[in-house]
Amino acid sequence: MKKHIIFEYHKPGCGSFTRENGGIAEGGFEPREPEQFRRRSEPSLPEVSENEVVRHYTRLSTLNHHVDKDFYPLGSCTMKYNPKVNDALALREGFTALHPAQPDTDCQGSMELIHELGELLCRITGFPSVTLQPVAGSHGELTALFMIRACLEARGDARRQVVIPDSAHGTNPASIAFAGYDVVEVKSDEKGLVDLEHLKRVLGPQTAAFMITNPNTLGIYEPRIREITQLVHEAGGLCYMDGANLNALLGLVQPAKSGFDIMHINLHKTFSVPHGGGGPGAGPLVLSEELAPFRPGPVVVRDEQGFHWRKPEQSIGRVHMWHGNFGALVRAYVYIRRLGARGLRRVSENAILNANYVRHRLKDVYRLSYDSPTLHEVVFSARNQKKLGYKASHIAKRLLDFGLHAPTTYFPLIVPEALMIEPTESESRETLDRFCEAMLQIHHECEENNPLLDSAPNTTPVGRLNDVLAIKRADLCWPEESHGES
Amino acid sequence: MPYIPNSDEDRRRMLAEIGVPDLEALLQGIPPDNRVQGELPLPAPLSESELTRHIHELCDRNFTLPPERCLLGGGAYLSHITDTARSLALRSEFITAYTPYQAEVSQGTLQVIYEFQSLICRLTGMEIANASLYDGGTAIAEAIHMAEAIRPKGRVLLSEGLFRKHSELARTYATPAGRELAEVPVKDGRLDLEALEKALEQETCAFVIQSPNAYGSIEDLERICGLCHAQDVLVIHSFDPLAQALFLSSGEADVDIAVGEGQSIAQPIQYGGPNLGLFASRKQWVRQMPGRLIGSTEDSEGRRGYALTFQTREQHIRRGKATSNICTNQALVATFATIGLSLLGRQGLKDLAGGLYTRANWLAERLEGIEGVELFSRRPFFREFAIRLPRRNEVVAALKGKGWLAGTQLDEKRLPEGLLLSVNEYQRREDLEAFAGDLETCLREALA
Amino acid sequence: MRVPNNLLYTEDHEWILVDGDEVTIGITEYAQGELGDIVMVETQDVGLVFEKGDSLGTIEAVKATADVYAPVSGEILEVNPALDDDPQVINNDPFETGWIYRVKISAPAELDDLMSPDDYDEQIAD
Repeated sequence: MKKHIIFEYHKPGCGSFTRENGGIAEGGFEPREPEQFRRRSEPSLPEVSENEVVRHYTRLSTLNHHVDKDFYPLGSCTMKYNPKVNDALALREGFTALHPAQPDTDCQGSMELIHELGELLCRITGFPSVTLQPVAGSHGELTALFMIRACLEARGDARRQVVIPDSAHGTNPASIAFAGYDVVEVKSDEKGLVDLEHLKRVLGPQTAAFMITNPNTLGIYEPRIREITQLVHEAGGLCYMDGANLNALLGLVQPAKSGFDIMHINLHKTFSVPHGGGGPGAGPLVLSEELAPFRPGPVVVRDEQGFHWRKPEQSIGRVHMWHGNFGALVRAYVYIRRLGARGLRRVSENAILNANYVRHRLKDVYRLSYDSPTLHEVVFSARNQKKLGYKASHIAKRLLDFGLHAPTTYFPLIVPEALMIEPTESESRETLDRFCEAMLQIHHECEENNPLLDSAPNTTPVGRLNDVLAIKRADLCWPEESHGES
Repeated sequence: MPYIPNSDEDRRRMLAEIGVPDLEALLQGIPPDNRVQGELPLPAPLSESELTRHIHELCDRNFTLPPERCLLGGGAYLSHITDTARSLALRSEFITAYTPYQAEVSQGTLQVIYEFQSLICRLTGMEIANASLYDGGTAIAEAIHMAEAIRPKGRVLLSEGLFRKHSELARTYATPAGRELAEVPVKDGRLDLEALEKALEQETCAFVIQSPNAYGSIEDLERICGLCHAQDVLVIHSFDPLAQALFLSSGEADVDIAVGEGQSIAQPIQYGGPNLGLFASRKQWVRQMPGRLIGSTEDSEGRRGYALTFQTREQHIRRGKATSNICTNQALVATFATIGLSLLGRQGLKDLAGGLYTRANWLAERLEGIEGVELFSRRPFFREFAIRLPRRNEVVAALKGKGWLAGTQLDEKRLPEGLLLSVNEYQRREDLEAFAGDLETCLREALA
Repeated sequence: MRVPNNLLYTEDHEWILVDGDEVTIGITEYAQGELGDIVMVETQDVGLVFEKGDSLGTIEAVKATADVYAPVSGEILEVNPALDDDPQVINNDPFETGWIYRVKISAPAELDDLMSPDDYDEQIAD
């Protein structure tokens, strides 16, 4: 039988690591150390020959859907093409071999890149200041909330609540709670926008901040965003923009001009850093002069002598051991320099065109969640299909049979049976047509109660997986006994 | 235009199909006064060759030495990443995939991460491990947060032997949450156990111990767990994954939450990021764990498969009540670690760790013989150790002139004239001998 | 979608069976369908005295969770013992064997605020 998991390949003596002590014969580990410090059990990693390791992980890799293979329309996730040159340049030895504890004078090239990337992000978004330490979007959110708290306390006006729309990403309320604030939700109106009257009612002396994604998670730009930020400021709070959808605004809108005090940017969405099966990404923050002294330290500053790491005066402290995900910063920097201002604008324009093309082709069959104009993504509700007995999850699983990835489902929460589609600028008209035709065919299958919907996915390496069993088993670790050899 | 597959003709046809005259019509949702006037003030675009040259120029402005000439460590280590691991982990299939929410088309990533969790369990002796956190520092902050959910009482104690950057980070996270942190001192290079006993007399939620500590020394983990557990206090162990191969593992010592920085088993150093936050605990607390978890299950035909599980802990479902706010993690770095550990195997792991131990001890003994040098770290230590070096800054500068990155200078408050020296697998006896010789010369000259 | 006639309902998709000053509480067929496969029910203990609107525990499905809110004030008399071993009983039989609490009510007038089967049916119609 074919071996399934790396532990089943274990054969003592087949590992390929060659023991060497750098030519030092004396002073091995065992004899010298007292027993209370020594490991008692075998660290039972499998011993596998290099060739078998290569086959095993090559085989596993082929089980993945990925952007280089085909369409990946996950709403909010921005699965765009990841240029190869980004990876190649990020892996230059001059970058990868640099130790973060080396003195500033040794690190001028990497520091210049960090400094320049910060400057580019400020110019794209209109903010005067930046920190590149946060390593993910939600890490950026949390860092910003720490800074907002420090800033308000410095004003002598500590507050308790952070307000978010009910369409917010889950990371927003989770970050708010983690930062020790209370979450207050404001409703969306019938157009899918912030309900201004409700917002006015919830804003008050306890409002520390308002967090909003713009365009929001429905792909709709908040037309009254300046009024909203003004209301928050009048209530004494700060305005946070979740930059998850910045890829719709490049060269079109600078969020700072809408009255925001701070925003995070997902370099792994808008600026093409590959997602890597879940990370690593980077979540830099761009921010106002008022918040700048509170940035996590240190930050790169430039003077006549060059670049230096400095801790801002009232820094909240570190949020990462070193300087953030430098490898991700290089990729984003390369992408921005490759495209320039016009290229970046083209990214957003084409992302918006592609999403609207999909919206137009599907809107008669899948119900639009809201009528408002949408930018880079579109959210449908599978309510029509639900009446035929099929849910958003059926449609998602059936799409996999077409070699396409499914859209994001069941988010935003305010849309029942949500199907959230973000094609990105990377896809050709032909690919979009192929996707739309698959979606139309699936609707037709719903009408005729095609059994393929219930059994889907039918053509994937495994069939539909039992999520309940996964929880009941709680098998998170391959057991030692199954090792073959004890 | 790079990376855009549609032509002008495609765009014309698409706009016609939508029924709008031009692209501008699709932007009507944005109020005109919100729009950027003109072009963003960015530098002109570069061709791929221009860009490559530009990046090479930046790289040239960095100063690096061959790894055998570098004795820097302190939480980031120069380690050999095999070409095998690199070429496998960098396959498009792994790099350009998203978080494996659609399990049926993500079995590659899911199984790799399940194997990763299993390998981390075997390495640490713990029962469960998650799919990774950002880095070793944020893993400590998350562990404190989890400990408070399990034992919502009292303050949190940190060993003074934590990397200073890690305790700084723990403070950044603790302050806004109104959490009290207190430090237990180190005495002669190792945790002061009497001070710990005394500190435990006050109501305490958890104690964070780093071993090997910031001076390289291995702590008496089993005794520390005993003291803490007697007071119903949770133990969070911040570990070095390679040290687990030789020294008492977290699980053997009965640690409650084990966290670590996995960079040295996964990635090149890259100026300190991306890193790899390792996080392991007891199975009974699976619902309090932060981050993603992969579990095994079966498909409709009874075939084994993998899926994200216990997702109701996570932000995308539990929102404000989630165990953590983490979403994006370090999956690709975990993929490197999985392949790297599989290539090493149990014997390779012990050999690699043993080689580092041997080099560090050999160098420490050699340096102890130099007049004026005092070994600060207590034995056993693993891959790094601290010395007191008179005229430290001068000597380090002189060694740089001789082509050495001569260790991490410790905080004056912690260890005046302290220098942390870290060895790596590229170094041979001749290199260490040459280093010791140069240090001796430079020290003599500085003292003259 | 079944909406039995002999029960009262809440906007949060709970059903209430009235038997004198004792009631039985569960969640509706619609609610279990929206939650999906239920894997755990965290319940409060027998003897707990609570007010209308208090959280009486959490129902956890694979990809969703829902709080159970007290539809009326009262005291818990009994918790369905079947939920521990087989929480999916709520998916399979929400109105009968999938009940959650038996409760002695303290403010019978509160029953008047609950929804009739017709009103509830209308609420879930769309």
